Amino acid sequence: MDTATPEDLLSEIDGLKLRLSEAQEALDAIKTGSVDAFAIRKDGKPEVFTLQSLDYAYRILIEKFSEGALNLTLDGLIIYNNGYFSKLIDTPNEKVTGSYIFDLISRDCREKFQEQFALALHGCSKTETILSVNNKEIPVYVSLTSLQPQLATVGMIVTDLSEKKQNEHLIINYRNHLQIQNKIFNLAEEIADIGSYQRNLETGELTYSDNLFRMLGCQPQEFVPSMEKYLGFVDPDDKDRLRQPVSEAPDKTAPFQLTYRIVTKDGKIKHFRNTERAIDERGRKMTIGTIQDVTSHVAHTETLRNKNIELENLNKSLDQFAAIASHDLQEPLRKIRTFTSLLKQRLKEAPPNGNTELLDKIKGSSERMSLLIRDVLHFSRVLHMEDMFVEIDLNQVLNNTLKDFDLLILEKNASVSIDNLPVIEAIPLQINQLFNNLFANALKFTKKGIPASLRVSSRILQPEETGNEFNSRFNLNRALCYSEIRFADNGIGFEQQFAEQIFSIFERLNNREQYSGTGIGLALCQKIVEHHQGAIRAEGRVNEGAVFYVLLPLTQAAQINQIKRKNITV
Amino acid sequence: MKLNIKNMVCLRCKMLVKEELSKLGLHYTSVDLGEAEVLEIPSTAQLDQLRVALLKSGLELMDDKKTVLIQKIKNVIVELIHYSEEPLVINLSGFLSNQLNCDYTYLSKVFSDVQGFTIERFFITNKIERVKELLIYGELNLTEIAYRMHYSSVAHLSTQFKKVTGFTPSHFKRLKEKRVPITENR
Amino acid sequence: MTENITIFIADDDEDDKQLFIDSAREVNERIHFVTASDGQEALRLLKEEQNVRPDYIFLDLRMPRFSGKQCLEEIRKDKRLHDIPVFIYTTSTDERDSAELRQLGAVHFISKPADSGDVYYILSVVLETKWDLSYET
Repeated sequence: MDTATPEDLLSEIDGLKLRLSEAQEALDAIKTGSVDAFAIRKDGKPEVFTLQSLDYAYRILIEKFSEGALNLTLDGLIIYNNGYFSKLIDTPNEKVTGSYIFDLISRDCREKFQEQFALALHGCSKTETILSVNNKEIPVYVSLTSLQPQLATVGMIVTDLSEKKQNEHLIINYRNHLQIQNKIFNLAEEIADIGSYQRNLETGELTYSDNLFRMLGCQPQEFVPSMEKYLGFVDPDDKDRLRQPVSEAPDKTAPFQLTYRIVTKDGKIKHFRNTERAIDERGRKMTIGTIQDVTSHVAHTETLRNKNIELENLNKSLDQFAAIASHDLQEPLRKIRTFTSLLKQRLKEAPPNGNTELLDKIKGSSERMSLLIRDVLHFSRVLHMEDMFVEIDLNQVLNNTLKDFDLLILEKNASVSIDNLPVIEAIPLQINQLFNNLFANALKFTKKGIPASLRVSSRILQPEETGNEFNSRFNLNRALCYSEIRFADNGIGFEQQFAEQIFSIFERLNNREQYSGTGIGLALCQKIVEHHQGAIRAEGRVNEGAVFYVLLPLTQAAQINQIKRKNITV
Repeated sequence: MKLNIKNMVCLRCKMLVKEELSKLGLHYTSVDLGEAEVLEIPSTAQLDQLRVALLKSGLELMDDKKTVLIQKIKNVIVELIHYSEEPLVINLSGFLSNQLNCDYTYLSKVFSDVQGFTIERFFITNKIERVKELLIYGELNLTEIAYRMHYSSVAHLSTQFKKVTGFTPSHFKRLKEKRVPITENR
Repeated sequence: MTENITIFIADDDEDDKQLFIDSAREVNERIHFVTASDGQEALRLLKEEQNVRPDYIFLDLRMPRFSGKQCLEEIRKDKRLHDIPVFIYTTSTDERDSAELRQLGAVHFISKPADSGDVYYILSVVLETKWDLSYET
C-alpha cells in the first residue's frame, strides 16, 4: 500500500518518538548504571543482553576493592568513589561524591598533591599524601592516572598506609630501642671487659664487637676480622691449644671454653677466657663467642695461690718450729729440775763435797737455755723483718766476717782464700749473719791435727741452671739473675744422705758432747736466703769436707711481675 | 671437796692457798703441795674467784676434768693395791689405759703435771704402804708378801722398801712392834 | 731379778743416759748396758750379729742422724730384733707421738720425768712387767 494518509504518518511519528525516548531512556539507564540487562527482539525471538558480562565485573571489582578507587574530573571533582574509600574516610558515599579531592587532602600536603595531580593529567603519578577528614589524619599512597582520551577524568587509586605507618613507627621504635640496647650492650662489654664476636660458618664472615677491638688494643673496627689476624695476637705457646678447638666448635653442640694468653697491639700481656658456641639461627649456621679479660683474675688467682703456698709453708715451718722448739727449750729446763732433785737427794745422803759437779751441770743448763732463747729470737726475727734491701758489696761482708773470726782463724791455723764476690741487692744484717754462720760451722767442724782450709768463690748462674737437678726443687725466680757463692772446707764433712736434714731447725748430726751449738745456724741460713728469693744446699763427704752453695739473686724483683714459666690452668 | 692446785712448791705457796681459801669463806681441813681439802663444795663463782687469785701468784687451780681424772687414776691404783685379792696386774700402763679409756701418755702427763710426781711413783709408794700394812698385820711372811705384791724376789722387795722408806722391812717391823706413842707428828 | 739382762739404750743426751743407767742399777744391780749416742750408731750396734741380743731396747726420739722413730721401724723389720720389746724414752709428752709410736711397734712410751727420783719408779714398774709383744691397743 503506498497511499499513506497524513494521519498514518503522524501516528508513525508518535510511535517512533516513543521508541526513541525508550531507547534514550535505556541508554540513559545504561549510562547511569541502573540497567543491568535489556532484551532485543531479533527475528521474532527475544534476546537478553546482560551488561554484567561487560563491565559489571569490573564495577564489582572496583566496589569491593580493598583499595580506594575514585574517578575525578580534570578539576578534581569526585564523580565516583568506591565503598572502601568512603569507609576509609568514614564519610557516606553521597557526601563524598561531588566534593573536591583537594579538600580532603591535609593542608600541609595539598601543594604537593596539586603538583602530582597536574602531572597526572599528562600521564600518571604516584605520591604519598595525607587525607584529613573529620579531624582524622590518614596517611595514604595515591596513584593518579589520566583516563584520557577515553574519558575526560582522572582515575585515582588510594592505598591506606595507616597500618604501614604504624608498622613504620614500630620499626622506628624498635630501631631506637635496638640502638639503645646496643649502646647498653657495648657499655656493658666495656665495663665487664668482655668482647664478643660472631662467625657465619657458611660465608666465613667474622664480626667483632667494638670492645673486642679495644681489648686487643685497637680502635673499634680498625681491621677486618679474621682468624689469622686474631691468632696474631695469641701467645705462640697457646696458639696450638686454640686452633684445634676452634676448628672443632661448629661440629660440637657443647660450647667450648679456653683460656689463653694474648699480647695486645701495644704489647700488654693479657689472659683471655674464650667461650664459643654454635647456633642455628633460622637455618643460618653460625658461632657466637665471648671473650673475657681475666688477666686480673688470673693474677689474683696466682697471687692467691702464691699467698696460700706461702701461708702453708709458713704454717708448716711454724708448726715444725713450735714442736721442736718446745722439745728443745724444755731440755735445759728439765735438766735443771732433774739435777736440782738429784742434788737434794745427794745432800740428804752425803756431805756437801763433790756436789760442785752437779752445780756445774745446773749452770751449764741455764746457759744453754739462754743461748737457745737468743737463737730462737734471731730466727723468728728473720720471719718478720721488714728491712730494706740495699746494694751491698759481698766482698765487704766477707771481710767483716773474717775480722769477726780472726782469733778463731788463728787458733785453728786456718787458711782462707777468697775470690771476688758480686754486688747484690740484700739486707746487710742478714747477709752478715749468713756468712757468719757458714764460717762458724766451717771453723767448728774441722779435722783434728789438720790445718783448716776454707775457700770462698762465686760465679753467675746460667739461666738454664736454675732448673737443673740441684736447683729445680727451689723453684727459683726465672726472671732474676742468680749468683752462686761457694763455701768449701776440708773438715769432717758429713754423709750426703743427711744433706737436707742439716737445714732443719735444731737438727744435729752430732750430740752436744762432741760439738757445741744449738743446731739453729743452718736453719737460720736457709731462712735468710729464702727471704732473699734465694736458696742454699750442701754437699758433704765424710772426713773430706763440705761445700755449701748459696744462691742469691743480684737484684730483687717485686713478686707480682714475676714471669714464671708455669702453665696457667683455669 | 678436794681441790687440785698446780705449781705449789713451798711453804709460802701453802700459806697463800690457805689465805685465799679463808678470804672466800672456805674452811680447809688440809693444804698440801698440790691439793687442798675444803669442807664446803665451793660455788662456781667461788672457784672462779679462787682461780683468778691463785693465778696472780703463778698457782693454777686445776679444772674439774683433770681433777676428776687424777682422782680416778688414784682410785684405780688404790683399789688395785689395797683391795684386790688377785696377784697384782703386771702391765700397769695397759691396765690404767683400759680402765680409764685414755692414752697412758696423756694420763701420765696430766697426773705428773698436777701431782708433781709420776703415776709409777704413786703406784710404788702405795705398794710399799700395803707392804707396811701386811708387815704390821703379821699374817704373811716376807716371801709371801713379796709374791702377793708381785716382787720377783724378797731381795727386790727389800731394796725397794729401803729406797722408799729408808728402812729395811725387818727394821721397820721391829720399829712398829716397839709400840711408839700415839703423839707422833704426821 | 737375779738373771743377767742386757739393756740397750740410745740417747744423745749423756746426762739422761747416765741417770737412766744409775736408776736401772738401783732396780737391778746386775744389768749390762749397751749404749749409743745417735740413731746411726744405734742401728749399727743392734744389727751387728756378734753383739749380744738385748732384752730391752730403749730409744730416744730426737737423736742426731736417725731418729728414734726411724730406728724403731728398722728394728721391727729386722728378723733378729723384732721380738725384743722396744721402749721409747723421750722428752716428748705428746700423746699423739705415743699413739703413733705404739702403732709402729713400741711397747711403751715413756716421757722422761723431770724429777730424777721418778726415773727409778718408772724403771721399777717397766722392768718388773712381763711385756706382751702382741700389743694391740
